[in-house]
Amino acid sequence: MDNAVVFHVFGFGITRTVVTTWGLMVLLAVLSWIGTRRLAMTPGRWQTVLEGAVESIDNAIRAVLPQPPPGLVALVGTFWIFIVFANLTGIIPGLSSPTEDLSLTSALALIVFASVHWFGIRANGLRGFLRQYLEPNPVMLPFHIISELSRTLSLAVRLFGNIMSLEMAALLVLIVGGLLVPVPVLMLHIVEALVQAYIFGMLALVYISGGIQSHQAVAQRRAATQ
Amino acid sequence: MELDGTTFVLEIINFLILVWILNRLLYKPVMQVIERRRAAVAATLEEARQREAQAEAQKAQYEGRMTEWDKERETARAHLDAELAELRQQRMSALEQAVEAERERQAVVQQRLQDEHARAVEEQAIAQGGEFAARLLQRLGGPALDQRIAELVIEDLAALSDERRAALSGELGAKDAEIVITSAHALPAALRERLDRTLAQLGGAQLPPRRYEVDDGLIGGLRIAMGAWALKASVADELAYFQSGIAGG
Repeated sequence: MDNAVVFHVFGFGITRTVVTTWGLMVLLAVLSWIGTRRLAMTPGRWQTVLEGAVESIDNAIRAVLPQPPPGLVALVGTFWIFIVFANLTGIIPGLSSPTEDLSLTSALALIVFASVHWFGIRANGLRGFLRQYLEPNPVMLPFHIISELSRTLSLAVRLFGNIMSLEMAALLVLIVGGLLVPVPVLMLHIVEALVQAYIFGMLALVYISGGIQSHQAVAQRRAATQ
Repeated sequence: MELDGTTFVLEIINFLILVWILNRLLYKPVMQVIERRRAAVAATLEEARQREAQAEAQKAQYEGRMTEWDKERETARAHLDAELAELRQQRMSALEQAVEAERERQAVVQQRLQDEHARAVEEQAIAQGGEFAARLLQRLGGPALDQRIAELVIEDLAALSDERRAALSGELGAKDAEIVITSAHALPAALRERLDRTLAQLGGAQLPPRRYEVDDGLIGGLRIAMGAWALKASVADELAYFQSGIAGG
């Protein structure tokens, strides 16, 4: 719960969340390098696990968006992997999940918000993308804007609230019940970590794919009504 | 629940860097390996499909060849059967002809053997008959029979035609001619004189010398030899004549 500044760089306070994130980045980078430095056509046990994970991410994205634009697999996959590792960090004694910091979840939500517009504009053009805010009627413009902001806010708060409350509950149970009692809570923590990561990544994917396909959906709807 | 600006900005930067790191160290290498494997699997499958198609084509080709071979085999077998039937027919015809020829040859041989046997039996019967007749006539014969036959010879010589008489006269007139008169018994002198006179009448004044001989093999009668001409009036000659006549049919 303590998100104190660990040290300062050029006057900017580097919080524990940022340091933990850097640690996770190093860990993921090292694991990726070790896992992919000797890839073979006939995979071993670990290569099979690695390929299964990456291919599962790719298949999940292609199930929503059959032809994903370049970079989308890396973005959504990194959401899943990073949030899983970040959520699971909380079960290590002495560490806390970076995702219980609203600053990090807000940053991730902002990235999702920007990605929706980035991929939507790349797929449909600026006019085509902005036109969806005026569909089916220009009166709907405020509602579309509120929807965009609220779902971005909900992304940030949902992940932050779930992880923070989970860790707080685990802490309370640990204080009240002793050492062995929180074990089921820790199991619940693992499940919750996986579920929240999946929800965040899948919602990001749905929002981005909605931004990509909205122009096509509008065009199809118009063609159908004419 | 505070929103720290520095953390917010740094986390955005951190996440974008992490996206770049994972994309470079994880997603791209793994996806490349997966793509290479998919390509290899696709190539293997394509090769397998091509081999399968090739195998199917070869199978169809082999089945076609087998069908053609079956037809050729049936045709060849039918042709061979026809040739064998024709050859068998020819051999059977030749064999039947050979058997028929052999049968005819055997029949000819059998007939010839039968004829020879019959002839031998006949000759034996004739010889036995002649022998029996000679034995019988030998017992019946005697000087009286010789005399009687001599008288008949004298009568026959006297009754010769002019043509035969001229031929006989020419034979008697030949140089070194000799008349040999052979009889089964010695002829009486009177009978000899009558024979000389009769022969003299045939040969004229040039009657050659005469010589009388006895040969009991004649059984009865006499035989007169004058050069190349011979008058056979004996029982033995007559029996031989009859035997030869019977044998000649």
